[in-house]
Amino acid sequence: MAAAAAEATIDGGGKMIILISADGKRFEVTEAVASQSQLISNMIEDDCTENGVRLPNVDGDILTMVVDYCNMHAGDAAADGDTTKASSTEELKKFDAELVQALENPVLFKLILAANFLNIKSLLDMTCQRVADMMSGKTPEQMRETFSIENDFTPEEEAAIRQENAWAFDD
Amino acid sequence: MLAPDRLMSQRRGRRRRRHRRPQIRARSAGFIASTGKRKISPCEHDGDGHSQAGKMMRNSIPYLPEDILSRIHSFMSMREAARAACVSRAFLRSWRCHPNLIFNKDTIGLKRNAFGENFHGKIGCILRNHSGISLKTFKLDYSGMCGFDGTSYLDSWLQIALKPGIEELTLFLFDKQTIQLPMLTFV
Repeated sequence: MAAAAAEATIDGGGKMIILISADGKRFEVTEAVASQSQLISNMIEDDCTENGVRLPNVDGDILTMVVDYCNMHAGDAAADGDTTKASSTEELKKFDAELVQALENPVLFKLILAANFLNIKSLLDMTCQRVADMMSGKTPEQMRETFSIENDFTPEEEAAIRQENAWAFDD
Repeated sequence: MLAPDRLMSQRRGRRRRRHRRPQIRARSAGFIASTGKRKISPCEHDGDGHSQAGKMMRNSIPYLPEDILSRIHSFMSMREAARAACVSRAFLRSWRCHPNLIFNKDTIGLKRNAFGENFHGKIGCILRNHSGISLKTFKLDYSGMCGFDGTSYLDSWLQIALKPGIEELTLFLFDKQTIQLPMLTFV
């Protein structure tokens, strides 16, 4: 994957940036690709990317997914009004769906944290939407079980909020 | 300043929307908006890294920062979000700041033979317990609820709902109703 990212070379002479994961994996991407991260976009603006961008809290396997996502979505912003976009939109939807649906919870949460840290809004929204979808149709007990959430209410507090929101449990 | 505004609702489906300027909206728009404007130097982001790395080790939903829990929560429907509020204190806090309050016969589970007071009681309860912070969308839709009349409550509901940060207000009312919106300030 890293090699694939590095091959996503210069389109129109764009400058390349090297991203370095916590475990030392290096990813070479164009500025256009990297700029989907608001964090990196700000660093590019500040000329802070000369020696590569170290991301000490993003593992290589997660950064691989992030780079793949950004490579796929690099044309999004520029393609408005482009008539060829319709088909690529379908491809993107398929790619996005496959990306999040295949993930185990721990990996999904790591991806959420990476998207949050790198400040990639579309990826953060997509991954958070996935968790919301996974909670859909479940009772509070099932939600706790699915995501290992501790019930930190006292019995009285839980009874109170369940009574307050009893309307949400009606069939 | 918008003077007291009389809204003649001649037919059901009259909509009213107000949009705030983006720079003001940023106050309540959460993590993305606030960090989007923030320049982070390489030194600074290295510093952030250590604490976040600790969180990543645990990689379970309880350890996601609360702003992310809120974001997840905001993608749920009203009923799902209200159920999730019963999961833990963090989710309850998030529910109290739910950004989209959409009241219609489906979202708050109105039973077929329910009375108007039931519907209005639920709305009032949810609004009274809402922090008022982060509310972006408020929709009230009386479609399919012939005979329900909440206009006597509307003023107090809107006083709660219309806080700085609100982006969309939509009211679907009944024929020939006249309501007076509270005094609002839109910058």
